[in-house]
Amino acid sequence: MPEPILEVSGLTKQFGGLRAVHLDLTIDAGELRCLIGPNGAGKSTFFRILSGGMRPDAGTVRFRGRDITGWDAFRVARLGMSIKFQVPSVLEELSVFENLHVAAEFRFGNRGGRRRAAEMLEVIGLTERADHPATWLSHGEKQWLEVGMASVGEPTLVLLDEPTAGMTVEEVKKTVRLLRRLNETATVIVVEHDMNFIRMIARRVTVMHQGEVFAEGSMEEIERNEGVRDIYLGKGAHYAVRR
Amino acid sequence: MSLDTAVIMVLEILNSITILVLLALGLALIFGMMRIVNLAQGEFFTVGAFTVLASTRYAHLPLWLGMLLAPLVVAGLGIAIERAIIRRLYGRPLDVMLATWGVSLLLIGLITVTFGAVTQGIPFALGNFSVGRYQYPEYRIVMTTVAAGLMLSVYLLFRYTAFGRRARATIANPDMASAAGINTPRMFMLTFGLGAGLAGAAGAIMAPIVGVVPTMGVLYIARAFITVVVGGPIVLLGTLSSASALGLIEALISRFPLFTIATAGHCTPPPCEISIGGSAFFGQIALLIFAILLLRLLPQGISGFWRQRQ
Repeated sequence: MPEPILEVSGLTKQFGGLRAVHLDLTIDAGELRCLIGPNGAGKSTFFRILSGGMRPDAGTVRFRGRDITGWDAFRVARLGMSIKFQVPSVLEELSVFENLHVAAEFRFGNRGGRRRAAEMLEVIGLTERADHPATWLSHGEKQWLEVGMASVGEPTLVLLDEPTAGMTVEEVKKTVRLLRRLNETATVIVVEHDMNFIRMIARRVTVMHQGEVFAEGSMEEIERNEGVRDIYLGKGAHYAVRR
Repeated sequence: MSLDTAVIMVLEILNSITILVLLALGLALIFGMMRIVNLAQGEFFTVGAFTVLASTRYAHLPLWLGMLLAPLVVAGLGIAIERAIIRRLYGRPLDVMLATWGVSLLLIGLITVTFGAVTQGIPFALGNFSVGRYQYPEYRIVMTTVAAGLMLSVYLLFRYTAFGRRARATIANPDMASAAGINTPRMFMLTFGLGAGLAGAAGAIMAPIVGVVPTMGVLYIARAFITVVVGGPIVLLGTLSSASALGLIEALISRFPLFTIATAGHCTPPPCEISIGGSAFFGQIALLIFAILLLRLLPQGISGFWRQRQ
């Protein structure tokens, strides 16, 4: 019986009169969970609350058996939860290597972090760009660097917010490989819009709508679900055929 | 120009650059990197100078010990101010300006109440050395050495140490740095403390050559801001290069009269004219005019211009 690694209950966030997030959710250790839903469903807000970037108005987040509600982001990160944000945000002023080093250091120290960073450069295929400022990277390379930064500290749970946004088909394939590899050692939650990508990786899918969990199941179940089709796949069918 | 005059001229230029580097280095971290418009920066300088005054005159410590103490005292003061006030105001630049202005007035008031409003001197033992026909103060060479040492240390600290890497990460993108496990509030606090400590060190080093008075910070804060702004986004190298450019102009105009203007009316002794250039007063004016011109031509500062050309 798999252990739950993340338990979210009654988590609520309001923006003015708008309830952005109101949900209960449990993720088991080792899962690769996809989180989908139309724009404004509250997915990114949910991620920001989980990772400590935003405080909820009510509810609790339990991670690895500890109540982490309202913790600072760096404490959450040190407990083993990492995040790749929606907007590509690498540390532009630092070199590619330093980006990874900084993200590994809190876990493995200076020397160990250096070794892990070098290994991660190989994995994400940026070894030749190690000493370039991160700002020189292309959009796709920045996305991989971020995935690398989110995984180099050997987290137990990784949150990836739209890891393939703006990528070419080839780049998406490489990202899928990275993600599978990451999932061998970590639990992963992915937010995506790209249905082809979801089909490539998905085992269990959660659909969010207006801040709440609307449906949950395998990709087949979700695609058969008429309610989901109405709110998302129906209106958003062009997402699937565009590529 | 004879050789000894040329050597003295070079030393004068070096001295102008030294003073600008000393004034601007702490602010380069606090304003250049952290984007905090700290209007109390001048008072950090003042507190550094008064730490030297208090430790030599009242505690009878040797001068060098007072000078080592000053940056520590001011760094502690800076950390306290960051924790108590500035931390609550990140992302609200106008409120930070108002709050630090208040801190500035408070510090001036406290120092005046404690030490009095008079200008006091700090005696020191170094003399002059001769360059041909001229005498030049040895202490200025000490100042240049210390300024170069501080500049180099700060550069190495930020470039090559774990602290520097984390501080650069925090300043580049606080959310991202925090998500990467960096204790960002602590990095802000330490960087601010370092910037304050450097201003304290500058005040301590300059204390023996300037009058130590509670309002002295006001005299220097403008030049510090100008140097950092002209330096542009690559903070340390930019500050060094703008200090060099501005210091060069200041020293040259301070030394050489450019032209004279005839004045109206009678005067004794004749001829009735004002010399433009050739005094420290005109050196400062030239510095300001040059800074305005530079920013008109290079709105992103000197290092912003380098970056554009890349």
